[in-house]
Amino acid sequence: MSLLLYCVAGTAASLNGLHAGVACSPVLRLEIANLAVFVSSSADSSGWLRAPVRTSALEFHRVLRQLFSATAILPFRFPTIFEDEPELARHLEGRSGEYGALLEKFSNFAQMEARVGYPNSETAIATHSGSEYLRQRQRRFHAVEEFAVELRRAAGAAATEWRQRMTRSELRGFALVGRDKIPEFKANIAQALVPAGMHVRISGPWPVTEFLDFSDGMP
Amino acid sequence: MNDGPGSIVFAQDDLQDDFSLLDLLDHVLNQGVILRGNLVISLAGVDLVYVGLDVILTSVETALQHMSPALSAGTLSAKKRSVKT
Repeated sequence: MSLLLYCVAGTAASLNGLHAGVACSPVLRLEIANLAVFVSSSADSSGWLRAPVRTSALEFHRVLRQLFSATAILPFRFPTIFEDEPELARHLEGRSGEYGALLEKFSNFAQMEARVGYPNSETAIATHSGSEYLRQRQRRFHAVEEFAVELRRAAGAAATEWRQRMTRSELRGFALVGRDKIPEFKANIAQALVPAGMHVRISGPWPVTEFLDFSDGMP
Repeated sequence: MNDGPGSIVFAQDDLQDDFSLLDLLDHVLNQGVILRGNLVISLAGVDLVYVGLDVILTSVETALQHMSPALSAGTLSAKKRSVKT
């Protein structure tokens, strides 16, 4: 039986009222290597990947959200499928110390995120030359980076840690926030002065993923 | 450059909002733990992570049997991640 892995959590974690997961397959709670493991089981894993995959992904998210509302989790990327329980157990036994330590470390934390950029960044720059276009892109790039510093400052003590990375079109900021500090974080961020034309989108709380520093470098 | 005022919005859980949907799909598909030493198969643009190299081919074949002809004959590519020793 194939197993679709949603996440792992501490042994105190329960199903929290969950019944159906992806493609209506029941969500099961296993206990392996001193971890609570949440999976769905099926003889035919292709059912989890039925088109459109977006539907399955949304169902997967609903499971994570329900569990995360009650406890810290380490979510796995969709779809992570184990061939059988022994395979899953081998993996967890090899990583249980690391997973347990991360769950303990982030037991009372969530991840808040910021997307900072310019709407329709590629098309909104009206110029007469390619070099002027590039200059404007550069100016916007620097403006976004500078504002990220301002966001971090605005978050203040509500954000225990901040990480960020640039994508092609925007800057993504990730704040590690205590669960009890989320309202304060939002209120602080709302005070930030956003430069003209710039758009900031704040989302969360999400399970902690960006701050998972594994010993082998894999997230 | 004629920019309007800057704006800051807080995402809601409303999945009718395209941006909320994108946030969500990004988290599910691009974030979270990904395992090392596995075969990652890309099928129709979706990366599938199968654990257990000795049964992966079986799984792929089984999966393909259940896929539509368009998918099974389509863009199938496999790449092997570095195996942890």
